[in-house]
Amino acid sequence: MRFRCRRRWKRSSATTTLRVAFTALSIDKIIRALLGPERKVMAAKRDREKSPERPARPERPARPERPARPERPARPERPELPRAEPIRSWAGLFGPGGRSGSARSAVDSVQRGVEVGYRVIDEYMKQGASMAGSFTGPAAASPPGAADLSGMTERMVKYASDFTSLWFEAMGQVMTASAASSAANGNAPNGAASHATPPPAARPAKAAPVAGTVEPQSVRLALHVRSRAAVNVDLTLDDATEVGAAWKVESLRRRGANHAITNASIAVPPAKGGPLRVSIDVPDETPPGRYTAAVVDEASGQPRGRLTIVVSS
Amino acid sequence: MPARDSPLSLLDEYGARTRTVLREYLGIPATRGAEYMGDAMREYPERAGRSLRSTLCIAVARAFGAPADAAVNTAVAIELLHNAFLVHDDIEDASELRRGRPTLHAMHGVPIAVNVGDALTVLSLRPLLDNRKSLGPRVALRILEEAERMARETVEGQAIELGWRRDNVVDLGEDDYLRMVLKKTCWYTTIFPNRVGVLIGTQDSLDLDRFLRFGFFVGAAFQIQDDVLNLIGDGKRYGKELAGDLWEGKRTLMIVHLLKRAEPDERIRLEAFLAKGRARKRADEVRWIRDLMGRYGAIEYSQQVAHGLAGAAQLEFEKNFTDLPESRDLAFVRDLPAWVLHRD
Repeated sequence: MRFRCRRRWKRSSATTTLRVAFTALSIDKIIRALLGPERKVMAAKRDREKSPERPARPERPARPERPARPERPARPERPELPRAEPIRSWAGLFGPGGRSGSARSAVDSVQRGVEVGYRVIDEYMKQGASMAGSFTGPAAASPPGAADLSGMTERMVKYASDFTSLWFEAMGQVMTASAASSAANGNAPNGAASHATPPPAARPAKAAPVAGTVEPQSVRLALHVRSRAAVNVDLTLDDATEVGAAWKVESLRRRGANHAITNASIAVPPAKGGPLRVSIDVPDETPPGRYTAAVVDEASGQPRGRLTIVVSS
Repeated sequence: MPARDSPLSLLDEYGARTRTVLREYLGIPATRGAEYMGDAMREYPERAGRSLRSTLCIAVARAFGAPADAAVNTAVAIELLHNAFLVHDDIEDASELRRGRPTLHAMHGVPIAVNVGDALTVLSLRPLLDNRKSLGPRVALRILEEAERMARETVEGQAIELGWRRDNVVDLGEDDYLRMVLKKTCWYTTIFPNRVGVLIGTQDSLDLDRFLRFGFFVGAAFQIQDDVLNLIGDGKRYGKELAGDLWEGKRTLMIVHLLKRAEPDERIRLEAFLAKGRARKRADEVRWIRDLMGRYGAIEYSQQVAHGLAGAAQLEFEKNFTDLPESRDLAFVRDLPAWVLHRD
């Protein structure tokens, strides 16, 4: 019922006016009835004041005319805007999408395009994932954390491998340059002083030995191992030892475990012909396994080789 | 031309940088037979294009913190491979114009053009191998792996399109079209430059698959807009033959839309037209299809789809590039979806 009244109120302005008039009359009657005879005097006075028969007031002297104000410039007006609300449609995201067609169909086209687009690329990625899964086998089913760790380990190995190959490359260039310089000075090994240096592409991969170094095969090794368990030792040197250089062995670590053997050392012979001394102290509680560490030059931090030990159970 | 400080001015800046190094590679003296190869190899690269692909590669690498020099070799390889694809595409499509001038096979004949395309492909390996010096063997090898995948996806996409034309395949939906475009265009235009840019910028420490969607959406919007420009573009600025796609019977989104919406009799006529070789098609038939597209709103529809895909690309950009510090390079990548729609 109330709802109906409201609707009528909104619809007809004539009805509204009548209602207001009726309400005003009713209120006036109620006031008069409530106030009584004394108040009636006041009501009469109010009525008199409203009446047009009041005595006219004396005329005031005419005001002097004000000087005319200077003409103000026209007030700037805001230009009519082409639209009164934001455009919230995909179709208009990057400007007008087309000249014809309703906005509704434009939205449909955009929506359809995006839906199909996502479906196509998601299918494609799923195909790629399933193909990758078929290549990697059960490892693909491992939890994400484990996959990350495995990926990181793999990357670490890759970085180390890159570093080593770059190192070989750099050393090769240095040694080739040294050999070429020696040849130019008439000090080439094997009496090749008078031969021209071959072009870079034709240079042999392995450079001639440089003065002051010892060929790896001529190195004498003094090995000291203290261990309760049986230990196999494998020392690989990447290049010739430099007499008097200071080398060290980094912590020997086992793959996938935190345990490390920290007290292995290596000492380069101070003079030509001296033994390369390697000392490894395997603590009693060391778990069995394969432990590896890089042999690095203390001064430059560059790797010189690799020490591997296998601790038996 | 974009303003100098506009992110899109990178197209000129990085494009010029790439072309300088590209000329060095093209200037490598060949041995015997150079007169049949060298000049022809320089023909397309010297008709400078927009350098979208190379610029995207350098911009993404820089956005991720690498110096531009680290990505230039890869950008050069992209340009060489792009030009190689163009030479072969023009032969396969029997196109007449490329960047406003006659196509290579029109100038030198098909056999020499095919060989030049091969030569450009082979040459594109050289800067990728040279990456070993500047980026190290591991990252260089990863880029080669990505390049191999990109080349494989691209030729697969091209095979799909050529197969559709040879067998007059007409029962196609938007999803078929987008699958073909994903392989044929997106991989080498946007996905690969984006992925190798990330690879160089992060030294291969991010999962590249998260950038697939962005590359796909931008690339697909780019291809649809390219197809639209083929019909309504400015002939001089477009650089290719207007309505050439209709003459070549390409399955564009407009054709896919038309095949769905046309009345049965119109569809029969359209299918017959698509079945013909270029030489047997007539100008009045091309005009009729162009009019039919207007009547069925095929161009507007395609533009709307392109807008939607560009919007999706922006969403993917926000997901994957937001943690990077603000730079012109990042702004370029952000503006790319809008640019592919507004270029002419």
